[in-house]
Amino acid sequence: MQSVLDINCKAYYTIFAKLTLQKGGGQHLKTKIKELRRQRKLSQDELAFAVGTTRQTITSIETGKYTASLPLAYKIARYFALSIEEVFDFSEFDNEMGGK
Amino acid sequence: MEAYKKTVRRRMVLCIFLAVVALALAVYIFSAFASGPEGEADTFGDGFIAGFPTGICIGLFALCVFTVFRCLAMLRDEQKLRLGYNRDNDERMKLIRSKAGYPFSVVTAVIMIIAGLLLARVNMTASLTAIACACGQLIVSLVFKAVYSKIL
Repeated sequence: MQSVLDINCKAYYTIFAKLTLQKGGGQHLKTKIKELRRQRKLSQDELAFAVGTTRQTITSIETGKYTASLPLAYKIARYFALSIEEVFDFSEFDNEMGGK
Repeated sequence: MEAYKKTVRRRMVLCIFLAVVALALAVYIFSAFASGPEGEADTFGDGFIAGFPTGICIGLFALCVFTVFRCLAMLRDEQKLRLGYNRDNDERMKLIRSKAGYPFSVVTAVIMIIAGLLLARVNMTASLTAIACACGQLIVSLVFKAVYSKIL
């Protein structure tokens, strides 16, 4: 049974610490990597090995917690023989720029 | 990948050298303090001066031996070498490590531990304080690493 202190600490972390730590991270990109992997019956390990990164990074990119750098985004897109725009969803940025 | 192979070989040679030095130091420190005159009362300070550096040297020796075996396995298997390369050059891990203060937090912690060991002969309180600060710094760095690993 959780004590009141535990619940308060978790609430504090969820509301304040996480937001503060993520503040400098900027916007996180949505990606289609998971669907592309499933279509090609590829595991996260295999994709990570092919593009020169780790499985944890691929997981973070798929869940939107981490935004890949341009070289990594390019390697992932090239691996799937697609353009970066087809793998990563930039619609949020398009909306921000007024759809130009 | 050839450049990374050279890095791994260099790491292996460095670890072998460190392992030999650590083992020699551990044996020397232990024998130097174990060969004291019998019948003298053992204080906490005496035990600490003998035991703590010996323990650190043995730990360092074990870590170096483990690293040497891991490097050897990587040099024999291309797949493991590639996995090691990916792990060492992963951009997300580099970001997490930089946010946790690596490598300077480790360097300053090591300097504080060495200072603590040298101070042990002079002032036990100062020595324990320096070592406690080093441990605290390493723990804080680990906590940051764990938190950022979860967030990123």
